[in-house]
Amino acid sequence: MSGRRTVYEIYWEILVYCKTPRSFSAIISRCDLNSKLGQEYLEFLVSREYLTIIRDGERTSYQSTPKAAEYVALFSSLYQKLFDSTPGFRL
Amino acid sequence: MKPALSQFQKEIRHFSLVASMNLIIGVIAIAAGILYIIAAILGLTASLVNPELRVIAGAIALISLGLGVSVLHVTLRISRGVRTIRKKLEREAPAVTDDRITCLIVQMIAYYRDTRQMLGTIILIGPLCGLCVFVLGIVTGFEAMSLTSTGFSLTLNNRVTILAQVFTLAIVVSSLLSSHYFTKFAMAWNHRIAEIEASECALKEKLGLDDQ
Repeated sequence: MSGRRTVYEIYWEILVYCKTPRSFSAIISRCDLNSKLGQEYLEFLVSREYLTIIRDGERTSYQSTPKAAEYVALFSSLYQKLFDSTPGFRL
Repeated sequence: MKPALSQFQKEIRHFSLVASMNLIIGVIAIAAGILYIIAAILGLTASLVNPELRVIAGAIALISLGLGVSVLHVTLRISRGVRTIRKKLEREAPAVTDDRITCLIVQMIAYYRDTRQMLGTIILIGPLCGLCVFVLGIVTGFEAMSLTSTGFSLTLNNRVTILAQVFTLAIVVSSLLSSHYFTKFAMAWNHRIAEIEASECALKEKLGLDDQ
């Protein structure tokens, strides 16, 4: 996904994508991030225990924790509520 | 089907209709501009009442051509991303998951943030484009024009011209309508972006960023 996104939208995207373990390169490619920013976001989410690091030999992957589900649910409800609370566009 | 999904789908569909209408207006403006220029080159505009009017009509034809190209270009750019989201929605609905709906909403919001300025441009140049076609139709339809100290009178040449002017009037009305709907679309999404900004506090709190 590209375009102008807020940091919360990027966090949400990473957390949803990492519901199954994902490598760093897969995450930055999917979320359209550069490696420096991607590293920053992942470090933040790991530090807040929303992501966990899985090490399998030389391979490192990231997976969302149960704590992340709360953020994902809150985010989804806020964004879907936009279509209930605001006057929509119609012809 | 979830209410958010059905509303989202409806909005995207309606937006596509308005964008299509705008594309048609752009194409007609280009065609009108080119046709007048070709007619002027071939000397078919000599029937116009006076040379000044020919110059004015030529200028309007050029503006119409330029605005038509801009309308076409900007509308195509705006609708490209929306069309992609629409295709995804059509392909995946109604079995789309909750996360996927949110993903498409986020995509649309991100896309709207990117194209907001272009939408502002199209809201402005769309009616101008329609107006140019209309004025070009009027100017080329003059058979006689007189300006005296007591008043101003003009004669349109025949029924076909009057029909053509009704057509150009329909174009100007359509361009005003499409501009009105683009404004409504922009207002709805601006409102949503404002709501997102207001709800960021909750997300910030959830992430434990409220103390920073």
